[in-house]
Amino acid sequence: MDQHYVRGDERRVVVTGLGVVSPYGRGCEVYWQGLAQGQCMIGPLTLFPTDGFRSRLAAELPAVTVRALGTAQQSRATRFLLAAAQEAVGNAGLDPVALTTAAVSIGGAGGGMWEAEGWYWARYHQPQAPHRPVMLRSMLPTYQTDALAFHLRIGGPRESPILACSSSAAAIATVTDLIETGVVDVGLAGGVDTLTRLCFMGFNALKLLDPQACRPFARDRRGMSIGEGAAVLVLESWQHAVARDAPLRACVAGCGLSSDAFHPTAPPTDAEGAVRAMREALTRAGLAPADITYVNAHGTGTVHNDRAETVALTDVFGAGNVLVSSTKSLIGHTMGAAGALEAVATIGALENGLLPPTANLWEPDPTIPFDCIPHTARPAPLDCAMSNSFGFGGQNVSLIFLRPEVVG
Amino acid sequence: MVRMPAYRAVITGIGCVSPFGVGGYDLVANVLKANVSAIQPLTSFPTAGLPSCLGAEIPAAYLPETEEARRWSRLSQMTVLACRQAVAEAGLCDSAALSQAGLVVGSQFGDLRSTEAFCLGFLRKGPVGLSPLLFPSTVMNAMAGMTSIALGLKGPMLTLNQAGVAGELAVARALALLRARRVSAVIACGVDELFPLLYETLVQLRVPSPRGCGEEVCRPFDQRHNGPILGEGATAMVLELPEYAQARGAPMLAEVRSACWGGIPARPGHFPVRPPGQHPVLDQALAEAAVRPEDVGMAYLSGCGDPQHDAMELACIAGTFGSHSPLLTSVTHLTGEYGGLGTFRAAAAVATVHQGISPMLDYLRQPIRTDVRFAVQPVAPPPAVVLVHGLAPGGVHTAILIGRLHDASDMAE
Repeated sequence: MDQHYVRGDERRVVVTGLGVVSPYGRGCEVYWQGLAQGQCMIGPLTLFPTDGFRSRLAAELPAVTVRALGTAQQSRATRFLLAAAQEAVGNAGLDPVALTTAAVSIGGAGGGMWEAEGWYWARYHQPQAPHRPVMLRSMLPTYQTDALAFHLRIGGPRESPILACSSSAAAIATVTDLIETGVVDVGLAGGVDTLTRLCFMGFNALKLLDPQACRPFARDRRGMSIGEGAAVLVLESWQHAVARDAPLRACVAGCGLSSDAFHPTAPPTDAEGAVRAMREALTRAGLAPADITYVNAHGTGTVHNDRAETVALTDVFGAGNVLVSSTKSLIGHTMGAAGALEAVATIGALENGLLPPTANLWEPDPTIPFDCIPHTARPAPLDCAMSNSFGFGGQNVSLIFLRPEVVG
Repeated sequence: MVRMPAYRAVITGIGCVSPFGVGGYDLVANVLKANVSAIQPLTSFPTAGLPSCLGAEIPAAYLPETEEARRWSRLSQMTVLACRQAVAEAGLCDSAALSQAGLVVGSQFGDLRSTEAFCLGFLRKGPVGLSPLLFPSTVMNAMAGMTSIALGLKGPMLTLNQAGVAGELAVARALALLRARRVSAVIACGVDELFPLLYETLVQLRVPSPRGCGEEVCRPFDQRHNGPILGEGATAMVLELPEYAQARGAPMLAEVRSACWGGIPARPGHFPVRPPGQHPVLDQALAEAAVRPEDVGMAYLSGCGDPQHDAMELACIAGTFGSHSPLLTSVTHLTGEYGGLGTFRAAAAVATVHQGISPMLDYLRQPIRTDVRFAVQPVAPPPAVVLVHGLAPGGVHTAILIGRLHDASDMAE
C-alpha cells in the first residue's frame, strides 16, 4: 500500500491487561519469572505415547496446573483460554459492561483436537463399541472463542483466525485494526493451543522436531520443540483506557501482515514476505528500524526458519543492529498461541527492561549476525520492541510494541 | 441532506464452485433464476444404515485434473478454483496487482478429510505411515496458503474458522482490511466440503434432516422444517476500494455498503435461547450503510431448516424491521447447508440488486411466522439494497448490506 493509514492519537491502541497459561504454570507473573530466569520447560512428553518418533519431547503444562483450571467437562484448550482471559480482564480492571460491545479474536490451530483425537483413536481401535460424538463438540478452534464470549458475555465482533503458527499474532493485529478504525473501543486478542497427537506426529513426519530441546540460532540446531499454552491481551483505544484510568502496559504501535505465496511449509530464501511484514509494521508505527532495540524472533530452531528470519532481520535492521532472542527455546513452540505468548514476553521486556534469553544456545551459528542473548536474560532499557510470528502457508505477522511512557 | 455510507467497497468479480457447476456471476444468477435444487441422494460415499442420505455434492468432473491441482487437497482445489474465477471476472490478472491483494477464507470444518487420512496413516502403520505431504493440509489455513501460491497473492491472508456464517465473516473481515487501508483489493471466499466421516458424525449428532423421524427435506422457515440438508461449495468475491477499481477500469457489479458482526451470548454450539431486545449488529449495519429499514428490499437469511435457528433468525429480523420487513429468502433449499455458504448468499445478493433475480421459497406452505414477508414470487423491481443476514450456533451474528452502485437517487435523506 502506498497510502499509509493515518490513525488519530485517540485511536492509538494500548494494552491494559495480560493473561497467560504456560508450561511454567498459571499467570502472567509466573510466566515472566520463568522467562527472566531462562528456565527451559522442554522435557519428556507424557500426554500420549511417543514410541518410535524422532523426538519425544515437548513443553507441557504441569498436571497440577491443568487440574486447577477447572472442570474436566471443558476441553483442555477451553480451560487454558478461560484462565488466561480471566486474568487479563481482571488485571485490566475492565467493567463487564465494557465487554458487551468488545471484540474478541482468539487464534489457534488445533482447537479441541486433543479430545477429538481421543474419540477417533477409540473409534478406530474399538469400532463396535459406542463412541460419544459429543467429544467432538469442542474440536474446532471457534468453539474456544465461543466459550470465552459466552463465559464473559462478550458481544462485539468475534472471530477465530487460523494462520497456523502466526494465528494469535494475527488476532492482535486484527483487533488493533478494529480499534484504530473506530469499530470498537475494547477487544480481547490472544490464542490457545494444546499439545495434540496430530501436531506432534505432523512435525515428526516433516522431521522438524529436534530430538533434544530446541536450540534456536545454534550452529547444530535440528528443529523445534512443541509446547502448549494460552495468552490473552486486553486492547483498548488510548482514549477509552485513559478515561477509565486503566493500567497502560504497552502501546501496539504497528502491525504488519503479509504472505509469501511461495511454498506450503518453507519460507523463501530471501524471506521477502517476512521483510514486508516487518516493514509494514514499522511504517504503520511511524518508526525507523533504528528505533527498535529488541526482536522477539519467531525463532523455531529449524534450520530453514532461523536462516530465513536472520536474512529478513538483516535486510530490515542491518546485521547486528538489534538484540534478538527466541522464547520458544524456553516454552517450546505453542503453535497458534505462540504469537500472543511472545507478545506478552515482548511487553514484559519493555516493562522490566530485561530481555528474555535464548536457551540451549551453547554454540551460536556463526552465519547469524545477531546477538541472540544466550542463556541469561539481559538488562537493556528499551522503548520499542518487535515480535515476529511466521506460519505454514507463508503467513507472516510482525507486531511492534512501545512503552506507553514514550507516547504518553 | 444526502448521507454517504460510512465505508464501502465495490464487488468486481465472483467465482463459484458448486453442485451446479463452476463459473462466475452468471452461474450464480442462473442458479437463482432456475430455482432448482441440487439436493439429491449422495453418490460419492455410501450412506446405507444412516437415517439421512441426501446432500448437495460437487461432481468430481467439476474439479481440475491438472498436475498443479493434483498437489492440492480437494478443498484446496475448490478454493483455488473459486478464487481464480473471481479474479478473472474482476480482471485482476496483473501480477503486480495480485501481489498486493489480500485473501480471507472462511470455513467451518477446514480440511478434515486430509486430517483423517493423516491420522489413519499412523493408526494403520505407526510413525512410518505418516505422510509429510498430508500434514500441512490438516491446518485450516492450508486452502488460503495454496490459493496465495497459485494466484501470487502476497497481501494479508486470513482464515477464519466459524460455524454457520464463515462466509459472511470472510466478507466482513475483507471489508475491515480495506477499511484499515491494508489492501486496495481483497478476495473473500467461503468454503466447506462433504466427506464421509463428517457426514456420518453429524447424522449421529442429529444435525441434518430428518433428525430421526419424518421426511428428509430442506424447508427453512416452514413449520415442517426438521433440520438442514448438508452441502458443499466454494464461492469467492473480489472486493475493492471504489477508487482503486475505478482507476483500473474494473467491472463493478455492486457495492458492499456495510458489513458488521458481533455476538449474542449463547452456549458454544447452541443458538441463543432468546433473542435480545436490541440487535446492535443490524442497527449498526443500517447506520453505517446510511439506509433505513424500509430501504432494504430483500434479505438472504442463513436459516437452513434447523427449527431453533429459523425461529431465532426471524425474531432478529422482526425485532429490527418491524412492519418494514424486507422480502425474506434463502438459498439452502437449493445448495444445501455448509459453513462457508455465506459468500454464495452474498453473491446471490449481488445478482438480486444487479438484475432483480432471487430464489423463491416455493416449498413454503406454513411459515413459522406470519408477521414477516417471504419471497414466494419473483421480485420486481430489483431492490436497491439487499441484506445478507447470518446467525450461527454460538451466537455470532452478521449483517452485510449489498447495494446497487451508489448514486444520489438511493441515498437516504
